[in-house]
This record gives sequence, C-alpha cells and structure tokens, in this order.
Amino acid sequence: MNEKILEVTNVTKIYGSGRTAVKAVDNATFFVSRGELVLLMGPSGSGKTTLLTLTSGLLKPTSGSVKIDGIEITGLSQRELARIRLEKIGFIFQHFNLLSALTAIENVMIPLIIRGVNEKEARKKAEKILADFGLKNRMNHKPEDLSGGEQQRVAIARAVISDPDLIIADEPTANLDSKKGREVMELIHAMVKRGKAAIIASHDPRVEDFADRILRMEDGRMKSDERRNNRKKNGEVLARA
Amino acid sequence: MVSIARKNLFHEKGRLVISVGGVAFSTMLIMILIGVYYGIFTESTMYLRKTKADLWVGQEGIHDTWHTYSLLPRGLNKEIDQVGGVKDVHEFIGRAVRAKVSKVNDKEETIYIIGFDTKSGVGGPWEIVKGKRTPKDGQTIVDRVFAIRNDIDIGDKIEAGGVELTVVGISKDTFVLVYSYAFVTMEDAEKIFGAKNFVNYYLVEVDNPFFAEKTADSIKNRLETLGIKVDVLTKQKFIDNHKEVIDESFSSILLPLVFIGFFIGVTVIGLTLYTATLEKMKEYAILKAIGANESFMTRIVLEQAFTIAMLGFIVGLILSLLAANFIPNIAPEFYVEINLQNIAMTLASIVVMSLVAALIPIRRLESIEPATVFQA
Repeated sequence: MNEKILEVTNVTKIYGSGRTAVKAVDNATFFVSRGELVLLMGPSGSGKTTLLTLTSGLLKPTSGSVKIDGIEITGLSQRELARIRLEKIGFIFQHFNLLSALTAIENVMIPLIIRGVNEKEARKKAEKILADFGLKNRMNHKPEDLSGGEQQRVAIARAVISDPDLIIADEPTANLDSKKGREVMELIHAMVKRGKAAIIASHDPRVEDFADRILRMEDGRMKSDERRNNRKKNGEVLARA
Repeated sequence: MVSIARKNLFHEKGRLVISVGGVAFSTMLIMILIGVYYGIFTESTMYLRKTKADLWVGQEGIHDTWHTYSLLPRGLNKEIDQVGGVKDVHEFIGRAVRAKVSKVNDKEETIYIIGFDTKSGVGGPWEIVKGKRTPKDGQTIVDRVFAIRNDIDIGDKIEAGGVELTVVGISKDTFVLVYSYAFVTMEDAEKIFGAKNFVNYYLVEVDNPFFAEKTADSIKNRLETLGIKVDVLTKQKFIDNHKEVIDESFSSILLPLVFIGFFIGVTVIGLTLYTATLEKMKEYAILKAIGANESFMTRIVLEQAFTIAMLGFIVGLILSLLAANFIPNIAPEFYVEINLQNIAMTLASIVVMSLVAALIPIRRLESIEPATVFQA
C-alpha cells in the first residue's frame, strides 16, 4: 500500500494556444497521504477546480505527473481512467450531483452497479451506509424530496460506498447552512480517519478546522503548503466555527 | 437490477407516453401494411388452397389465372384419369366477365365466373354463409363482399354474358382483391363464355401428393403423345406463381409505405432519446466522472431505446389486432392478416429501428466531457 495516495508533480494546465492561451494551473506540486484531509484554498479563478479535475483524471495536464496510489494516470486511456476513478476515488460536489430519477439508495448504489456488484449486495451495503449517515428513513426518497444537507450526505455515501482511497470534494459545504456544513465535514473527516485521504477545494473557513494541511493557490500557482497543528491526535477537532 | 435507463424513462412519464405512442403508431402502420399484403395474398390464393386439386392442367405457358389464358379441349379428363397416380379429374371453366347487378340500376361489376362439377363439388365454394352450397342451372353463388357491396341477397338476380342467374347462396373468402368469384354449373358457364367444347383447366386429385410432381410429368407426357401441349402445375407452384404476381404488383406500393412507417419510428425513438440525452447531459457526465465507461453508457441508451421500442410494439400490436378485426366491418374488401410471420417481421423492424435511433445519442454521450461535473 502506497502511503502517498496522491502525488502531483510539476503539473501545468494550459487552456487554448497562442495569444489566447490561459495557464490555469502553473507547475503545481503536492501530495496527499493516507489519513490526511487536505484543504485547497484560494480565490475564485485561482485554479482550484482545475487542479481537482487534473488530480482525478477528468482532465489531462499539459505537462507534469499525477500518481494515484502509485499509478501514473496521465498516460492512461479513458477506459483505464474510468476504472481508476471507480475504484480509487470518491467524488463530492458542491451541487450534490445526484441522479434525479433515482431514489437516495439507488444513487448510493450506482458505483457498485457500475462495478457489476449484484443488486442485493449493493442495496444491503447502501442501506447500511445511509443508516450510518442518519438517512434510514429517507432512503426511498428522490433527491427533489431531500433537503440540501440530506442530499449532500447521500452524495458522500455514494462517494464512499466503493471504499475509495481518495475523496475529492469541491466546495462540499457551500450550499449548506453552518450546522449541515459541519455535519458533512464530520462525515468526511471520519472517513479520512479510517485510513482514507481527502482533498477538498473550498472557500469555507469552517472547513479549515478539519484540515490537516492547507494548500493555498493564487493565479494557478501553489503559494503555500501549511500543516495545521490545532488538532488532537485522535482526530477530535479543537476549533470549530 | 437498478436500471438507470428505465428510471430515466419513467421519470418523464409524459414524454414516455408520447414516445410509446409514436412507436405504437409506427408499429401499427408497418403491421397493417404487411397485414394487407398477407391478406391480399391469402385472399387471392384461397381458391387454389381450398380447392381439392393437387395439380392444375392448363395450356402450355400458363403462369397464373389472372394474366395467362388457358384453353383446352373438353374430354381430356378420361385420358388424364388413366395416368398412374391420378385419383380423380374435374373440369374447370373460369373467366372474369362483366356482370349486371340488376338491383342497382344495371350497374356493372367484374366477377370471376367459375363453372364447376356440381356432383363432386370440386372447384366450388367451400364456405357458405347463407343459402345453398350447390347451384342448379340458372342459379349462382356469389361472394359475401360482392353481396354486401351491391346489396344483394338470396333470390336477387344478376346477369353475366347474357345469362340471368338467381343468387341462391353467399360464400365466404371468395374475394380476390379486384373481383369476386361467382359459382355456376358447367352448363351455365359454357353459355356465359360461349365455349361449348373447351375448358380452361383440369383439376387433378392424386393418390399421393408426395409424388404429385412425378404424376404431373406423366400427365404432360401422355397428353403430348396426343399432340396436346400442356403445363401441369402443382398446387404449391400455382400458388407461388400467384404470389409472384402480387409481389410484382404491390411491393412497389407497399415497400415505400413500410419504409415511411419505419422512418417515423426511427424519428420518434431517436428524438426521444436525443432529447432525453441532452436533458440529462450533466447526469451522464456524473456517471462518467464516477467511473462509468463507454459501454456502460451505451447500454443505458440502448436499454432506453429497446424499452420504448418494446412498449410501443406491444401497444401497436394490440391496436393492430383490434384494427384488423375492425377494418373488414367498414371495408369488407380489405382483409388484414396478422400472422406470426407478420408479427416477427414488424418486431424485427422495431428492433432495427431502436438500434438506428440509438446511434446519434450514443455518439453524443461519447462526447460528454466528465470534467463538466465540477461546473456549477
């Protein structure tokens, strides 16, 4: 098992070419280890989201290297990348991104269904996770019938059901009130403390309290990589908003 | 298994109903058109199939009873009867003539007069819906469609070739697309056609239908030794020849119409899938982002296409069966035959339809960029 679940080395992403070329990410280098919750901060347009898409294999960098669990992903085919995302990464999005036609439990089952797990097994696992997340009575509701906080918890359940090594989250608390936002971060934090790793792009200062490290970006460049010391070893958060 | 395809389809019930309705209409169009074709074929060859004749002996060069004319001297039945394998021989006189339907102001209509052996009944009507089965001189049995169309009933009179005939029976399944059969005695047929010493065909029953072709050769050879050139066709060959004529006459009309039905189906399924795909682009991008590969995505579109197609097919089949039963009530000359072959052909069309319709949405899905999931 590789201790560094994500290794990003000298990654650059340029959109367009010639005069219209825009350097969205400029020579970024960082890593995320198991058991670490890394926060990616920076103003709008600083390149946070682009960096997340590069680290998840959804975009190919113009140059540089991205390794997930030791596997260099920049040269992989779309099919291989899909497999890496399915097995190694769990996604959490700002707008929850649940499938509107499916119920909460069906949404959670999706990664397992894509993997070919039989329905009975997938349903059992999804039921357990949703119950753990306090959604036992909301499993058969469609996203439109769930509150924002509930939808995000469903999204987290979907992200972790396949037991991925890395959670990639983009503004997971942005559409939630402070209580719900904290609940969501506690769930992600709990996953990380079970040996997963997470990289979260966020503007939300509440998220800082859960971070082991904070990466700050500006104009596509990595400005700082700061380790947080305001945490107890057992993972209990000291400072909360 | 949780089916994203079916969930997506049933999530938009209004659109699903419209799509299924469109495919059902397309199914109905294709099935009714094929049914009309089969109906024409069945009606047109019913006489050949129902008549107890394993072989048709006609003048050399005969192909069918519509386009080629056969005239043979009378009395050959004794010669034919002596050929090995022949069980019985019957004379047949038949031709299309204009008949006056006296009840409707001297209105004329083409009917195919058949003179048959009233003693054996071979060559005569096989199903009577009203009146007698066997006519005497001066009497005729007319077809049900002809009777309905001309408001003719038992006791009414028609006139053909200057011979007045009283309707004594009404037969069923004796309508051949453009005219119907009217059955008379051999004597009346001779009077109507003015051909006393000739028949058109000899109808031959054989001992063993398995050796019918061999018997046909023997009949041909025997008559040739008498200087009479004939062609002897088996029942199946004669039926096939008639089918050939129907194919030549109607395929140029029916095929474009079937194609239109197919095109409507492809368009309906294609537009539904394409619209559904466009509307759910973000959700498909999510699936791709979380690890669905191209084949998983393709399966979703294909399953949607097949679901619409199959639902449409089932609805279309039910409507077609209802229409096939209803159409003869308003247009008795139309017989729509929905048989297993018709159903299989339509089903195959619908399956191909859904595959063709799924092509563009599949290509569209391939082009979805999963990175868009991070966009607001």
